Amino acid sequence: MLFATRCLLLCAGLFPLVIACGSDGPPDAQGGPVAMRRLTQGQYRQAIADVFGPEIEVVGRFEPDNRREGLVAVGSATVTVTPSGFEQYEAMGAHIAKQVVSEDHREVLVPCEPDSRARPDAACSEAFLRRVGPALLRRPLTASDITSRVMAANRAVHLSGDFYAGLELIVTSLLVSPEFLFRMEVASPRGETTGVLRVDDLTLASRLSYLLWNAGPDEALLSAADRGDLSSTEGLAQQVDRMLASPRLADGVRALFEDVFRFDEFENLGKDVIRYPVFSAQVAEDAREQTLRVVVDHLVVRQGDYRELFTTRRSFMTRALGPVYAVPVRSETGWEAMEFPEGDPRVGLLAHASFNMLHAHPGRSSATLRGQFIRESLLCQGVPPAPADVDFGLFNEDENPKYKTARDRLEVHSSDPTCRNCHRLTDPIGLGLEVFDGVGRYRTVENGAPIDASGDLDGHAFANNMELGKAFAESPILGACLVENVYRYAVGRDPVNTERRLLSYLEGRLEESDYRLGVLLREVAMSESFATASSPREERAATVSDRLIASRARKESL
Amino acid sequence: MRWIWTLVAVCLLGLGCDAGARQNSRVSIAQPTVRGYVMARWHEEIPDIEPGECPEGLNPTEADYFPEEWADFMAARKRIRAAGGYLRWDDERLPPDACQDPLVQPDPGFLTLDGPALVQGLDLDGVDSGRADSGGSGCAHDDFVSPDGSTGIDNQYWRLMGCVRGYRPNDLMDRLHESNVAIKEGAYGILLEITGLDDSRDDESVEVQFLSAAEPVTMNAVDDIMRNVSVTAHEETRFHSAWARARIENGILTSEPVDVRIKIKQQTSDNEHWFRDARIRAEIQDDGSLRGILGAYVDTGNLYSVLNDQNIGDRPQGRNAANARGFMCAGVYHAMPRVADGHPDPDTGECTSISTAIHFEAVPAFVIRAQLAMSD
Repeated sequence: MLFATRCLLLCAGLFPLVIACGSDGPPDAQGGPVAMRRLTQGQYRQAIADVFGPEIEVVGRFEPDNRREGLVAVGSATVTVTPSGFEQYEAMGAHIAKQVVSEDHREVLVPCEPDSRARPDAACSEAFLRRVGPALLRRPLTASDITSRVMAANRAVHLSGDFYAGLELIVTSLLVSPEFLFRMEVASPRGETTGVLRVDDLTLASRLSYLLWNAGPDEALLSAADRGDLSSTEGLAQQVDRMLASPRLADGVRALFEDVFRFDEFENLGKDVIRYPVFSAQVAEDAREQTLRVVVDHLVVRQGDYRELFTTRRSFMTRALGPVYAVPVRSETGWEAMEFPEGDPRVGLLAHASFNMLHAHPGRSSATLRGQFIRESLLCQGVPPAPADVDFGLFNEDENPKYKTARDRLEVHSSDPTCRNCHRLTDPIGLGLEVFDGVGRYRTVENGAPIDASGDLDGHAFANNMELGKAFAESPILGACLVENVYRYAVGRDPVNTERRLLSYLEGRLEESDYRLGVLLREVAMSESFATASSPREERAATVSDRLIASRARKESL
Repeated sequence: MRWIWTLVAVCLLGLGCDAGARQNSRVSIAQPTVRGYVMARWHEEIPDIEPGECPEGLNPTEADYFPEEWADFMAARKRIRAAGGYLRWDDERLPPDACQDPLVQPDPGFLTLDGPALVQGLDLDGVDSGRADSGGSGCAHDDFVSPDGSTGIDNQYWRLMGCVRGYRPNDLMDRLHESNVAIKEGAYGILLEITGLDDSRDDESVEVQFLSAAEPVTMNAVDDIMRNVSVTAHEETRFHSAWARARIENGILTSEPVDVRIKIKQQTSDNEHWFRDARIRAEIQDDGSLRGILGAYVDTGNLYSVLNDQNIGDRPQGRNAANARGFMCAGVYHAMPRVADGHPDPDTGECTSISTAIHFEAVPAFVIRAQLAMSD
């Protein structure tokens, strides 16, 4: 439906930039504006682990990540570093640098020994800088990079009388560099074509590595970019296929779905332990990890159909999580694979404890929050915010003897016309998950009354949460939303008008591939839009029309 | 019946029987007819309504019995501790330590509770007996009446400890039971499994097994025992009882006698508790938990060891513990044969065990057999 609507709008000639619909090959769609994206907490930590090893601790407070239009990946292109945030980055960088050059680590991390510990050794400083600099700045070092930092290091040695203080300064300077803290994209005009820009190979390398691995480019990718290999289809394909075949793809897919699933919100998740004594920080952490393991196992290891994530019975379990699911767990430590039997209500991701505890109140479940999450994040549909003057009084009376179940209370609450319009979008889905309490434990009654988990997903009736999962998997919007989420995650912004045709093409390719994520990622990585950019003037002109088309598409899908 | 479930479990765990089941290491959900529990409470009966009279008073401690020696020892201990040292409880300032060897001290004349009392427990021998019934043999005993009016209650352990200060209602042991510290600190990790369960209200043929756990219980966020947790059974099969026949009638589970050995590890005690011919009577609660009494005979040798064999490293602590609870080790040792009422020695006819009653409450859990446990 979404696909059809978009094509209809585009083909109706509303937007002259669009030429045609329905061509077989990938469209030569021009990409949108380049971005300057601040590293997320996870990406910062990953960069340190990649360059210096997992033993190096990252301690400090990060500038908060910003979720925008449903994704931190989009929000990261709209944030800066505040003065106090910079102080934090500097303190973290200094702490990291101290560890790197410490006696415990220098033997491994510093490739040489100075002639004298009390005097500068420019050659050794340069060797160290050449080792860590390209990986941190995600580009080869220039002569200026080397000269300025080695000179600064030498001065530090003169002042301190310690060679390693100079190296410490080099590391700190790299870690507070805007080129480390931000993924700064560069594009330049391509040939004679007016207004079409092509991102440079280093920018493309970063885009690739953060999309597929959620990390900076490795040495092979940086070298390929430096040689200009990424400018050719063959060279680009070679790198993309290498990265898709790498075990590090699992990291990239985890990061993608952590963002789509809003799992950063676990950091602030709390529950009323009187009501949910089974809840703990460990349970929350394991619930989050469980879902990501299922996603990676299904989409990466098994290369399964994305839609089957919502019907799969395969899962992973820990001892801490076992009481939430009321299942036996043999392994005293770590994770074990398991499969829920036929007929068990634990079917698909929507039955996971993670979603059901994250999208609930501290002391009770929430059909509305769950429905809203599903609409917005998994179906890419907008749900208007609640009016400021809405009266939640009756709904919050979850011990009201007259309205024992959430369905009872929501029906009364939604009888208010002000509330009805939004709740009709969220509640029919969310009520299908009412068999899971506020931490995701299965239940059949609420306040002594049986729970009716039947509902309707856009005209597809379901009797229980198992049928909801099936209806969800069969939703025609599901694949389209995955495409939209992956593309937005990849480029760090909403698609512009010129990219809509690409999204339609990607939806088709995803369908043809039986919804394999790997195929989608490859198509995005190899697409013209991913490697090109619009000029600032066209960007401004596109903004109004983009909003209009997005708004119409959203209304149509609802 | 049990072999069927064992076979099912083996198949499900991928150890044989079916190619489909063997193909990977996944575990399926436990069959509904197997129900596991972990003990959330486990403590001996201390009657609180009519605990019985001790007309001659309560038993003395060693400090009461050897006041000069103890005063000398405690003064020295205080001085040495102030200087950062440690004075052992088997120091020669004190009389020889009867908690390590009960024959090194004379019988101090231990006071038992010989009169009537309202005491909970089970009728283990099926007889509402009195001391005169057996013609004055060593095993003859007066049964108790329970607060609900049941007669024939065998609980000679209360006769043994009923006149010990620390065991009187609201005193040390009662408070420890109330705080449930033994379970919460992991002294007892006890599992119970019921198999062949078709109807949790009425089932004339089920089987039960007691197992020590290999790990402490898991507590939840409000300091209660976590429900539905998986607990690995102790790797030593001596701590797995045989399966006992049992039945459920109107929600009440009763089992036939079986020997049970429970591993104890708490503070100064690292031992095992041997319950002979143990059987339970417990009610299955609406919330799935199980609440009731285990009645059994405790072996006298084992009981003496459990009470007194306590150590920190190579430093004996039994005398200290006995003093805190209010008895003398030598006294208990000499009194045990007087109250013993079970398992007569075939040669001497003397009873070698003492009837007792343990209150327990168990919450649903999954019993994981240690030999089948696997790591990530």
